[in-house]
Amino acid sequence: MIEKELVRKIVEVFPYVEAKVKRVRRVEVKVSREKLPEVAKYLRSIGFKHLSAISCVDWPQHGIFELVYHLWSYENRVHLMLKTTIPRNKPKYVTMINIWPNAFVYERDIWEFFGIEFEGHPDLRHFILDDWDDIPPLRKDFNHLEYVKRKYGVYDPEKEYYLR
Amino acid sequence: MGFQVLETSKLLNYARARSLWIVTFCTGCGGVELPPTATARFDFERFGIISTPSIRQADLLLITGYVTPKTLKRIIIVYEMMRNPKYIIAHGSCPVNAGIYWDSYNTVKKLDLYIPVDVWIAGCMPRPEAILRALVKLMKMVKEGKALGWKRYLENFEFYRKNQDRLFGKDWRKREIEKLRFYIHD
Repeated sequence: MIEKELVRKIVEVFPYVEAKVKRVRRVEVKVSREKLPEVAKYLRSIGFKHLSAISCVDWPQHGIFELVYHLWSYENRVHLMLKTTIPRNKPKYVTMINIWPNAFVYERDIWEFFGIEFEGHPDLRHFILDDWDDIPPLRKDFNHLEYVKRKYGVYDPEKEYYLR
Repeated sequence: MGFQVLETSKLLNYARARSLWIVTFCTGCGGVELPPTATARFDFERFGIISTPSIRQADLLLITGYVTPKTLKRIIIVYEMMRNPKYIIAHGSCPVNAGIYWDSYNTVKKLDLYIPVDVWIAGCMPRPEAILRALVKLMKMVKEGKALGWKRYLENFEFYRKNQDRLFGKDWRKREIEKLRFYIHD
Protein backbone atom coordinates (compact mmCIF):
# COMPACT_ATOMS: atom_id res chain seq x y z
CA MET A 1 0.00 0.00 0.00
CA ILE A 2 1.77 3.07 -1.25
CA GLU A 3 -0.81 5.33 0.41
CA LYS A 4 0.02 4.09 3.92
CA GLU A 5 3.73 4.54 3.25
CA LEU A 6 3.10 8.07 2.07
CA VAL A 7 1.10 8.93 5.15
CA ARG A 8 3.77 7.47 7.42
CA LYS A 9 6.45 9.45 5.60
CA ILE A 10 4.55 12.72 5.84
CA VAL A 11 3.72 12.28 9.52
CA GLU A 12 7.36 11.41 10.26
CA VAL A 13 8.60 14.66 8.73
CA PHE A 14 5.76 16.83 10.01
CA PRO A 15 4.37 15.43 13.27
CA TYR A 16 1.75 18.17 13.53
CA VAL A 17 -0.22 17.24 10.39
CA GLU A 18 -3.36 15.12 10.35
CA ALA A 19 -2.91 12.61 7.54
CA LYS A 20 -5.05 9.62 6.68
CA VAL A 21 -5.91 7.29 3.82
CA LYS A 22 -9.40 7.95 2.49
CA ARG A 23 -9.47 4.99 0.11
CA VAL A 24 -7.34 3.51 -2.65
CA ARG A 25 -5.21 6.29 -4.17
CA ARG A 26 -6.82 9.00 -2.06
CA VAL A 27 -4.89 10.62 0.79
CA GLU A 28 -6.08 13.48 2.94
CA VAL A 29 -3.71 15.81 4.78
CA LYS A 30 -4.93 18.51 7.14
CA VAL A 31 -2.56 21.30 8.16
CA SER A 32 -2.87 24.58 9.99
CA ARG A 33 -2.62 27.61 7.76
CA GLU A 34 0.79 28.75 9.08
CA LYS A 35 2.43 25.41 8.33
CA LEU A 36 0.89 24.75 4.91
CA PRO A 37 3.60 26.38 2.72
CA GLU A 38 6.40 24.21 4.09
CA VAL A 39 4.30 21.04 3.83
CA ALA A 40 3.41 22.01 0.27
CA LYS A 41 7.06 22.54 -0.60
CA TYR A 42 7.93 19.11 0.81
CA LEU A 43 5.08 17.43 -1.09
CA ARG A 44 6.26 19.09 -4.28
CA SER A 45 9.73 17.66 -3.68
CA ILE A 46 8.48 14.08 -3.17
CA GLY A 47 6.62 14.00 -6.47
CA PHE A 48 3.35 15.90 -6.15
CA LYS A 49 4.17 18.07 -9.14
CA HIS A 50 0.69 18.45 -10.50
CA LEU A 51 -1.73 20.90 -8.86
CA SER A 52 -5.05 19.77 -10.34
CA ALA A 53 -7.19 22.41 -8.69
CA ILE A 54 -7.68 24.55 -5.64
CA SER A 55 -11.18 24.37 -4.30
CA CYS A 56 -12.73 26.47 -1.60
CA VAL A 57 -15.57 25.56 0.74
CA ASP A 58 -17.54 28.15 2.67
CA TRP A 59 -18.62 27.15 6.20
CA PRO A 60 -20.54 30.15 7.59
CA GLN A 61 -21.72 28.19 10.68
CA HIS A 62 -18.08 27.61 11.70
CA GLY A 63 -16.85 30.98 10.43
CA ILE A 64 -14.18 29.50 8.17
CA PHE A 65 -13.21 29.00 4.56
CA GLU A 66 -11.70 25.63 3.80
CA LEU A 67 -9.06 25.59 1.07
CA VAL A 68 -8.33 22.25 -0.59
CA TYR A 69 -5.26 21.80 -2.77
CA HIS A 70 -5.75 18.81 -5.04
CA LEU A 71 -2.37 17.32 -5.84
CA TRP A 72 -1.49 14.43 -8.11
CA SER A 73 1.70 12.41 -8.13
CA TYR A 74 2.63 10.82 -11.43
CA GLU A 75 5.15 8.50 -9.78
CA ASN A 76 2.92 7.09 -7.02
CA ARG A 77 -0.41 7.66 -8.79
CA VAL A 78 -1.92 9.16 -5.68
CA HIS A 79 -4.40 12.00 -5.37
CA LEU A 80 -3.59 14.00 -2.26
CA MET A 81 -5.96 16.55 -0.76
CA LEU A 82 -4.09 19.16 1.21
CA LYS A 83 -6.60 20.95 3.42
CA THR A 84 -6.42 24.04 5.54
CA THR A 85 -8.84 26.57 6.98
CA ILE A 86 -8.76 30.34 7.11
CA PRO A 87 -11.03 32.63 9.13
CA ARG A 88 -14.05 33.96 7.33
CA ASN A 89 -13.89 37.49 8.70
CA LYS A 90 -10.26 37.94 7.59
CA PRO A 91 -10.05 36.17 4.23
CA LYS A 92 -6.36 36.41 3.41
CA TYR A 93 -3.82 33.79 2.52
CA VAL A 94 -0.43 33.42 0.87
CA THR A 95 0.01 32.53 -2.78
CA MET A 96 1.38 29.18 -3.95
CA ILE A 97 2.65 30.46 -7.30
CA ASN A 98 6.29 29.88 -6.31
CA ILE A 99 5.55 26.17 -5.71
CA TRP A 100 3.02 25.44 -8.48
CA PRO A 101 2.94 28.21 -11.13
CA ASN A 102 -0.50 27.19 -12.36
CA ALA A 103 -1.96 28.29 -9.02
CA PHE A 104 -2.13 31.70 -10.70
CA VAL A 105 -5.45 30.91 -12.38
CA TYR A 106 -7.02 29.02 -9.48
CA GLU A 107 -6.21 31.73 -6.96
CA ARG A 108 -7.59 34.40 -9.24
CA ASP A 109 -10.75 32.32 -9.59
CA ILE A 110 -11.11 31.86 -5.82
CA TRP A 111 -10.49 35.55 -5.25
CA GLU A 112 -13.29 36.31 -7.68
CA PHE A 113 -15.86 33.86 -6.34
CA PHE A 114 -15.06 33.82 -2.61
CA GLY A 115 -13.22 37.08 -2.05
CA ILE A 116 -10.08 35.51 -0.57
CA GLU A 117 -7.03 37.67 -1.16
CA PHE A 118 -3.79 35.87 -1.92
CA GLU A 119 -0.79 37.88 -0.82
CA GLY A 120 1.94 37.82 -3.42
CA HIS A 121 -0.40 37.13 -6.33
CA PRO A 122 0.64 39.56 -9.07
CA ASP A 123 -2.64 39.97 -10.91
CA LEU A 124 -5.93 39.69 -9.00
CA ARG A 125 -8.39 40.90 -11.61
CA HIS A 126 -11.95 39.89 -12.44
CA PHE A 127 -12.01 36.88 -14.70
CA ILE A 128 -15.64 36.23 -15.58
CA LEU A 129 -17.65 38.74 -13.55
CA ASP A 130 -16.99 42.11 -15.12
CA ASP A 131 -18.12 45.08 -13.03
CA TRP A 132 -19.24 42.94 -10.09
CA ASP A 133 -20.99 45.08 -7.49
CA ASP A 134 -21.98 42.74 -4.64
CA ILE A 135 -20.36 40.29 -2.22
CA PRO A 136 -18.63 37.40 -4.03
CA PRO A 137 -21.34 35.14 -5.45
CA LEU A 138 -20.28 31.70 -4.17
CA ARG A 139 -20.37 32.72 -0.51
CA LYS A 140 -23.26 31.08 1.28
CA ASP A 141 -24.75 34.35 2.48
CA PHE A 142 -25.06 35.71 -1.05
CA ASN A 143 -28.73 36.06 -1.95
CA HIS A 144 -29.18 34.96 -5.57
CA LEU A 145 -32.82 35.91 -6.00
CA GLU A 146 -32.47 39.35 -4.51
CA TYR A 147 -29.48 40.08 -6.72
CA VAL A 148 -31.29 38.82 -9.83
CA LYS A 149 -34.30 40.98 -9.03
CA ARG A 150 -32.16 44.03 -8.49
CA LYS A 151 -29.97 43.57 -11.51
CA TYR A 152 -32.18 42.00 -14.18
CA GLY A 153 -35.74 42.81 -13.12
CA VAL A 154 -38.58 41.09 -11.32
CA TYR A 155 -40.12 37.81 -12.39
CA ASP A 156 -43.88 38.16 -12.75
CA PRO A 157 -45.62 35.48 -14.85
CA GLU A 158 -49.01 37.22 -14.59
CA LYS A 159 -47.98 40.26 -16.57
CA GLU A 160 -44.75 40.86 -18.43
CA TYR A 161 -41.99 38.40 -17.79
CA TYR A 162 -39.48 40.85 -16.43
CA LEU A 163 -40.70 44.22 -15.22
CA ARG A 164 -38.49 47.07 -14.24
CA MET B 1 -33.92 58.17 -47.99
CA GLY B 2 -31.32 55.48 -47.55
CA PHE B 3 -33.48 53.52 -45.14
CA GLN B 4 -36.47 53.64 -47.44
CA VAL B 5 -34.49 52.07 -50.24
CA LEU B 6 -33.16 49.45 -47.84
CA GLU B 7 -36.65 48.57 -46.69
CA THR B 8 -38.74 48.72 -49.79
CA SER B 9 -36.62 47.50 -52.65
CA LYS B 10 -38.01 44.08 -53.55
CA LEU B 11 -35.01 43.17 -55.62
CA LEU B 12 -32.61 43.93 -52.80
CA ASN B 13 -34.75 41.98 -50.33
CA TYR B 14 -34.84 39.00 -52.67
CA ALA B 15 -31.08 39.11 -53.01
CA ARG B 16 -30.53 39.46 -49.28
CA ALA B 17 -32.79 36.55 -48.44
CA ARG B 18 -30.65 34.29 -50.63
CA SER B 19 -27.29 35.29 -49.20
CA LEU B 20 -27.47 35.44 -45.42
CA TRP B 21 -23.95 35.32 -44.08
CA ILE B 22 -23.48 34.34 -40.48
CA VAL B 23 -20.98 35.85 -38.06
CA THR B 24 -18.82 33.05 -36.67
CA PHE B 25 -19.70 33.72 -33.06
CA CYS B 26 -21.07 31.22 -30.58
CA THR B 27 -22.20 31.59 -27.01
CA GLY B 28 -23.24 28.83 -24.64
CA CYS B 29 -24.00 25.29 -25.72
CA GLY B 30 -25.88 25.94 -28.97
CA GLY B 31 -22.70 26.24 -30.97
CA VAL B 32 -22.58 22.45 -30.97
CA GLU B 33 -25.67 22.30 -33.16
CA LEU B 34 -24.17 24.50 -35.84
CA PRO B 35 -21.56 22.13 -37.35
CA PRO B 36 -24.23 19.54 -38.25
CA THR B 37 -26.40 22.34 -39.61
CA ALA B 38 -23.53 23.56 -41.75
CA THR B 39 -22.16 20.24 -42.95
CA ALA B 40 -23.36 17.55 -45.34
CA ARG B 41 -26.42 16.21 -43.54
CA PHE B 42 -28.41 19.43 -43.15
CA ASP B 43 -26.21 21.71 -45.24
CA PHE B 44 -27.45 25.26 -44.87
CA GLU B 45 -25.30 26.40 -47.76
CA ARG B 46 -28.01 25.30 -50.17
CA PHE B 47 -29.96 28.32 -48.93
CA GLY B 48 -27.02 30.60 -49.65
CA ILE B 49 -26.02 30.74 -45.98
CA ILE B 50 -22.36 30.52 -45.06
CA SER B 51 -20.42 31.58 -42.03
CA THR B 52 -17.90 34.34 -42.39
CA PRO B 53 -15.17 35.50 -40.04
CA SER B 54 -15.64 39.09 -41.13
CA ILE B 55 -18.21 41.05 -39.13
CA ARG B 56 -18.47 43.77 -41.74
CA GLN B 57 -19.61 41.37 -44.45
CA ALA B 58 -22.09 39.44 -42.31
CA ASP B 59 -25.87 39.85 -42.15
CA LEU B 60 -26.89 37.40 -39.49
CA LEU B 61 -25.85 37.01 -35.86
CA LEU B 62 -26.78 33.79 -34.08
CA ILE B 63 -27.08 33.89 -30.31
CA THR B 64 -26.64 30.21 -29.55
CA GLY B 65 -27.32 29.89 -25.85
CA TYR B 66 -27.17 31.61 -22.51
CA VAL B 67 -25.70 35.10 -22.48
CA THR B 68 -23.61 36.40 -19.62
CA PRO B 69 -23.16 40.15 -19.15
CA LYS B 70 -19.55 39.84 -20.31
CA THR B 71 -20.65 38.08 -23.50
CA LEU B 72 -23.48 40.53 -24.00
CA LYS B 73 -20.98 43.37 -24.20
CA ARG B 74 -19.20 41.57 -27.01
CA ILE B 75 -22.50 40.77 -28.71
CA ILE B 76 -23.51 44.42 -28.64
CA ILE B 77 -20.13 45.51 -29.98
CA VAL B 78 -20.30 42.91 -32.77
CA TYR B 79 -23.90 43.81 -33.57
CA GLU B 80 -23.11 47.50 -33.83
CA MET B 81 -20.13 46.78 -36.06
CA MET B 82 -22.30 44.86 -38.54
CA ARG B 83 -23.72 46.85 -41.42
CA ASN B 84 -27.42 47.46 -41.96
CA PRO B 85 -29.56 45.53 -42.62
CA LYS B 86 -28.68 42.93 -40.01
CA TYR B 87 -30.64 40.17 -38.35
CA ILE B 88 -30.49 38.19 -35.12
CA ILE B 89 -31.72 34.67 -34.41
CA ALA B 90 -31.80 33.60 -30.76
CA HIS B 91 -31.46 29.87 -30.11
CA GLY B 92 -32.99 27.99 -27.25
CA SER B 93 -34.84 29.03 -24.15
CA CYS B 94 -31.90 30.78 -22.49
CA PRO B 95 -32.04 34.02 -24.51
CA VAL B 96 -35.84 34.05 -24.18
CA ASN B 97 -36.06 34.08 -20.37
CA ALA B 98 -32.76 32.53 -19.20
CA GLY B 99 -34.31 29.04 -19.12
CA ILE B 100 -32.75 26.91 -16.39
CA TYR B 101 -30.57 29.85 -15.40
CA TRP B 102 -33.58 31.92 -14.31
CA ASP B 103 -32.06 32.58 -10.86
CA SER B 104 -28.43 32.74 -11.92
CA TYR B 105 -26.45 35.80 -10.93
CA ASN B 106 -24.52 35.93 -14.18
CA THR B 107 -27.04 35.27 -16.94
CA VAL B 108 -28.93 37.92 -18.84
CA LYS B 109 -32.62 37.17 -18.43
CA LYS B 110 -34.32 38.73 -21.41
CA LEU B 111 -32.14 39.35 -24.41
CA ASP B 112 -34.77 41.42 -26.18
CA LEU B 113 -34.23 44.30 -23.77
CA TYR B 114 -30.65 44.81 -24.93
CA ILE B 115 -30.63 43.97 -28.64
CA PRO B 116 -33.48 43.41 -31.10
CA VAL B 117 -34.16 39.77 -32.02
CA ASP B 118 -35.91 38.81 -35.25
CA VAL B 119 -36.57 35.10 -34.83
CA TRP B 120 -36.67 33.04 -31.64
CA ILE B 121 -36.22 29.28 -31.48
CA ALA B 122 -37.68 27.63 -28.40
CA GLY B 123 -36.28 24.45 -26.91
CA CYS B 124 -33.25 23.22 -25.06
CA MET B 125 -31.37 22.51 -27.29
CA PRO B 126 -33.11 23.10 -30.63
CA ARG B 127 -32.15 20.43 -33.14
CA PRO B 128 -30.65 21.34 -36.51
CA GLU B 129 -34.10 20.92 -38.08
CA ALA B 130 -35.42 23.67 -35.82
CA ILE B 131 -32.50 25.91 -36.71
CA LEU B 132 -33.11 25.31 -40.41
CA ARG B 133 -36.77 26.12 -39.95
CA ALA B 134 -35.85 29.38 -38.23
CA LEU B 135 -33.43 30.22 -41.02
CA VAL B 136 -36.06 29.54 -43.66
CA LYS B 137 -38.53 31.65 -41.73
CA LEU B 138 -36.02 34.46 -41.51
CA MET B 139 -35.43 34.19 -45.26
CA LYS B 140 -39.15 34.54 -45.83
CA MET B 141 -39.32 37.54 -43.50
CA VAL B 142 -36.39 39.20 -45.22
CA LYS B 143 -37.95 38.60 -48.60
CA GLU B 144 -41.20 40.21 -47.47
CA GLY B 145 -39.32 43.05 -45.80
CA LYS B 146 -40.56 42.13 -42.32
CA ALA B 147 -37.29 41.44 -40.55
CA LEU B 148 -36.75 44.96 -39.28
CA GLY B 149 -34.86 44.39 -36.04
CA TRP B 150 -32.02 46.65 -37.21
CA LYS B 151 -34.51 49.44 -37.80
CA ARG B 152 -36.06 48.90 -34.37
CA TYR B 153 -32.60 49.23 -32.89
CA LEU B 154 -32.02 52.57 -34.62
CA GLU B 155 -35.43 53.96 -33.76
CA ASN B 156 -35.44 52.85 -30.12
CA PHE B 157 -31.75 53.30 -29.54
CA GLU B 158 -32.40 55.31 -26.38
CA PHE B 159 -34.41 52.43 -24.90
CA TYR B 160 -31.77 49.81 -25.67
CA ARG B 161 -28.99 52.11 -24.55
CA LYS B 162 -30.77 52.76 -21.25
CA ASN B 163 -31.14 49.04 -20.55
CA GLN B 164 -27.53 48.35 -21.48
CA ASP B 165 -26.29 51.17 -19.25
CA ARG B 166 -28.47 49.92 -16.43
CA LEU B 167 -26.86 46.50 -16.58
CA PHE B 168 -23.24 47.45 -17.23
CA GLY B 169 -23.05 50.88 -15.68
CA LYS B 170 -22.50 54.09 -17.61
CA ASP B 171 -19.38 54.54 -19.76
CA TRP B 172 -19.07 50.78 -20.24
CA ARG B 173 -18.10 51.33 -23.88
CA LYS B 174 -15.16 53.50 -22.86
CA ARG B 175 -14.07 50.92 -20.31
CA GLU B 176 -14.21 48.15 -22.91
CA ILE B 177 -12.05 50.20 -25.26
CA GLU B 178 -9.50 50.67 -22.48
CA LYS B 179 -9.38 46.89 -21.99
CA LEU B 180 -8.93 46.26 -25.72
CA ARG B 181 -6.25 48.92 -26.11
CA PHE B 182 -3.60 46.35 -25.21
CA TYR B 183 -4.41 44.36 -28.35
CA ILE B 184 -4.47 47.29 -30.77
CA HIS B 185 -1.22 47.81 -32.63
CA ASP B 186 -0.59 51.00 -34.57
